[in-house]
Amino acid sequence: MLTKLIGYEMKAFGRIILPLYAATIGMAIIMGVGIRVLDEDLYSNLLGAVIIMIFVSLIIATMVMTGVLCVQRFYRNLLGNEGYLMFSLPVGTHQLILAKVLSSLIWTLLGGVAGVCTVVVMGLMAIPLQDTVRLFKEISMHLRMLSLGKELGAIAVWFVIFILFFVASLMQIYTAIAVGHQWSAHRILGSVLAFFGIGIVRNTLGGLVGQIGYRIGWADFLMARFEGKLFLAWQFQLVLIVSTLILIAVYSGVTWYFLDRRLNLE
Amino acid sequence: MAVLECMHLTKRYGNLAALDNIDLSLEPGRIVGLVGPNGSGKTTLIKLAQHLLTPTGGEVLIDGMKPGPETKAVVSYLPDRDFLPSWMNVESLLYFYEDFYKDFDMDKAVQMLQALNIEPRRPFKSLSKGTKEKVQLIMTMSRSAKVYLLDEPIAGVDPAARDYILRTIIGNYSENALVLISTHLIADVEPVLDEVVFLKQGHIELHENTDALRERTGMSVDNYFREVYRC
Repeated sequence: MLTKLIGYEMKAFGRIILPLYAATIGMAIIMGVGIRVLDEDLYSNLLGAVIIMIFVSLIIATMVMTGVLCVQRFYRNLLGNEGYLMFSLPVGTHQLILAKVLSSLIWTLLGGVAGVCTVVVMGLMAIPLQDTVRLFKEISMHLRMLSLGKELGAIAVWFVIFILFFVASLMQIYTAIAVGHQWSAHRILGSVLAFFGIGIVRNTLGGLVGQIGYRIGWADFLMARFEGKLFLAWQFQLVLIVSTLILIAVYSGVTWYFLDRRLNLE
Repeated sequence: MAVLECMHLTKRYGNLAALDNIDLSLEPGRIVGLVGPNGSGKTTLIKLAQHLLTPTGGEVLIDGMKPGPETKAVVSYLPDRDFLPSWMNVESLLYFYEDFYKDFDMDKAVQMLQALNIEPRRPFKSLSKGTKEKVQLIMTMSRSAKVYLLDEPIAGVDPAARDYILRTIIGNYSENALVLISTHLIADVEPVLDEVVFLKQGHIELHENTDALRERTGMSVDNYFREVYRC
């Protein structure tokens, strides 16, 4: 059932996001060709500026729309009129929440992939083929010279931490919406206030834990041992992972509680 | 054995009791009218049975179980509003129902849509209000459920559409199922009802077999309703 829910979410996102991806890549092609063929005269400069403006606007629109959909799909699809359908499905509340989180994560990662594709497409259009091949060879040579061996592992862990941060941030918004929905009126206002309230509680507790870490000398230990290379310390990464997982668990529990045990659809 | 049972069921909004200590037991194989004026608690009762509201007190059981994924697999619910995603077309809605409900009969749904000349490729949002209600009803009645919860299925549609909706309900519900129809348009549904439950300000005013009620009062259910709820 979870797979079906995610498939349905992917379609709901895709019908809005995919045309934006297509338009952005289309503009990247036009920009790439423009870089190659446009002259330095006034007319060409004006045309180039317009193309760049449309291209940047499309990138911003895609990013904003992805963010908006991540939140809107939760609010409207679960707590609006469509909630009467979704909460009538023979699936658990945890599956409804998980489907929203996973589909949002997938579309955010796809956004990154689409961004890379855009740059590559633009490069392919702007630079002659033989120069492109030479450029890729140079980039791969530089990467080899950097000998990232050990750092690559740390970078991969940072990618996992980024995903966990994203999920935690999204779950904070979902929790705020679920809490705000307990109000009998002004539910959006309730959600906004809940969001800031949750942030204050989280920061206070985080500060408290940081103070304890400082007092027991953990911060000094890390600083001394990794001298400016803190981002490579697995102990530091582990603390971030564990603390973010705890946050996700708390947010998930609270969201589930309000959507399952305290649900009151309008 | 009752397929829908309410025990001391209470739902309050602040100080206002939408349902106050309701006890109700409904058997399978019956078509039951849940009637009462606006604000009497009809929608609240149905939403509590579908776990869309959380009771303040008491409990409701469907087929002996508390409302949850297991009961939703055997309950076919028609809300009192447009609840289908407007961006989907009718065909994708059919596949959606088939995906999530094991008891959904695709052939039956397609036949009903064809009978009404509803084009499956049309986006749901492009349909008229009456056609939307018919599509929603077709989705609901194409399931072989144990319980059908129909909240105001004939409100807001023209008399011809009302006839179609009632014919669809009668012609498609599973024989051993309970059909609970909430409405304040009693005259239209009276001919199909086996039992009637009168709700008044969150209390059950009456729960009786419709034939017995007519015999006892010498009035139609509709006329008796007008007596009970006279302003």
